[in-house]
Amino acid sequence: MIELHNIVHRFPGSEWKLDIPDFSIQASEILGIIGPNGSGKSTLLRITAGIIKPLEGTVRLSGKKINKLKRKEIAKKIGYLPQETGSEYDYTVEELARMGRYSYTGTFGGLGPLDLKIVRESLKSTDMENMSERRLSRLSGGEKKRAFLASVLAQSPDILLLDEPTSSLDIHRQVQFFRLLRRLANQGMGVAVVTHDVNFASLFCQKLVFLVNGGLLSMGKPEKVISEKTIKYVYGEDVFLGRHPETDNPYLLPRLFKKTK
Amino acid sequence: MNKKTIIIYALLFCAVAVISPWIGSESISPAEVFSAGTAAPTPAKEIFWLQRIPRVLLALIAGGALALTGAAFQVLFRNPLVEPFTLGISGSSSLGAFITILFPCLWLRWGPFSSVQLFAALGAGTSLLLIYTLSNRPEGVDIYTLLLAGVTISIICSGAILLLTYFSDPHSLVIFQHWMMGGIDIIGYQSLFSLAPLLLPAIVVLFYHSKELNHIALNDEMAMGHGVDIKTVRRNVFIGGGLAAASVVSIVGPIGFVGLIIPHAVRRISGLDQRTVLPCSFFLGGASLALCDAAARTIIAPTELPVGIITAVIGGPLFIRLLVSRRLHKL
Repeated sequence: MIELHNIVHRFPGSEWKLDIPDFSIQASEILGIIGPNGSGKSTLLRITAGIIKPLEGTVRLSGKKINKLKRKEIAKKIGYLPQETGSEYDYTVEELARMGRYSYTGTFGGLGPLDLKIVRESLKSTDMENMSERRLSRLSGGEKKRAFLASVLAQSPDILLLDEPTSSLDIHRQVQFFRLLRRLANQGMGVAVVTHDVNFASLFCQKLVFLVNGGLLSMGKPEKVISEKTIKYVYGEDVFLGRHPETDNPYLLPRLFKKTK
Repeated sequence: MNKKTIIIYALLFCAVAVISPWIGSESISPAEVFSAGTAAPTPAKEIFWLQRIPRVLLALIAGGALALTGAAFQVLFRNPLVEPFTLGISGSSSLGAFITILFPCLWLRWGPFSSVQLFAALGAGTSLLLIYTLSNRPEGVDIYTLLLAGVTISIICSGAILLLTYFSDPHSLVIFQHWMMGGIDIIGYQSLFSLAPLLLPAIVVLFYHSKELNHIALNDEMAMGHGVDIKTVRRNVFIGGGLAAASVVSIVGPIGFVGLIIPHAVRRISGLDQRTVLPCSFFLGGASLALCDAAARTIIAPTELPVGIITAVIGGPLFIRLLVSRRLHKL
């Protein structure tokens, strides 16, 4: 669905370099992008979404180069939820969700019955239907995230790119959010999610991309990517590695004391 | 977009358009104006058709354009304090006008444009071009550079104006002072026609982009994700608003307040959808300036007050009243 090839990116005035050979996001699959701070997760996601143009390399969306496409064309295929979401004005949830239909509307931005139906559905699937008249300032952190997700889902994208969507949520909301992503993937959507939380990534993602300092450390199934050795290598931290009772996926527990030799 | 709301504002606009020509130091009755039979124009007819009507039309259009530009700029810059003249347009056009007033060798006429108008527009155009070049980056216009450059140009221009004031004769000073206070006391339709070539396309561009402005109020990445070509929208809204403000200021002078206050009033009363806010700001801005001008004509009749004074003196307290009313939802 979306393929990245030999991506290299640098920011002016900085030594740091993002260098990712190849990776792709497939339909019906959740791809987790993990790694420490400054490893290039968000930059990689922005490049994938066509928000920033890499210095080298190509991003192909269903075979077409993404920088040849108009923003409206990209928006019909890719839904992108940035890490920072906010609004200068205090829109209602419904108003926000309707904005997601932008790329389908004409000069005056009027919505037809089909558009309104899709807006309804995206509010429903994010569990925001009964809050549609609420203003953004009256929502909790989790509700706000879901409201913005609803506006992204209203784009009816094939691919969903999310940048740390759950970083400010409590565990219940986090689980809910990832279950929602799971449902969307089961309906055929390709999902890529940047997260700090290795445990959630391991439990909910079919495939993980582990980034370190702008480079690709490893890629594959969670049980392949996550090991005590890699965690020690990347984060410099000794951890206990366990197995999830339901799925047998690896999970991490921190040690109370530093290991002594 | 709320069509009902827009229609209500439009009706208000039309009502003011119909009523205000009848208000003024010279009382005129419809019977005098529409009386048939007399071939020779009566004074009442002349005042009505050559003074009142063009004046009211100019007030409606200028007020509308200023409020519309203010509404668009406040979103574009994500800053509630921005008004059409924040970009240094009033300073630079004032400088242009002042230079023309000081140097009679510059007095010329080109089609419907007067020399003061031409040079005021030229000044505004120069400052727009300057700040646009300063803030244009490969990834698009940098909003903060734009704002800072605009404010800096304002300061430079007012410095230059002070310098010229210091060396100029009292007569030119009076003319300039009068221009600065803002006035829409035009006679005939020439100035109205001279507005059209710049103002009409500018208004169309602003209305056209009103739906994208909703997205710009979110944040850049979210807007791009929704499919908005932020770079283009920014450039177009900046140029459109700049041209609208420049063309208006070149005729009526820097009338403050309308462009700052009206959009806030509209957002308080009628919600936040820019597709509603922009047209409603146009209608309310035009109606308010026309009413203020009617007041300017009558308050100290038979003389007139500059309309800029009225907009500030009446508009200020009204806006504070609006700010403290709790009934209306928070911005």
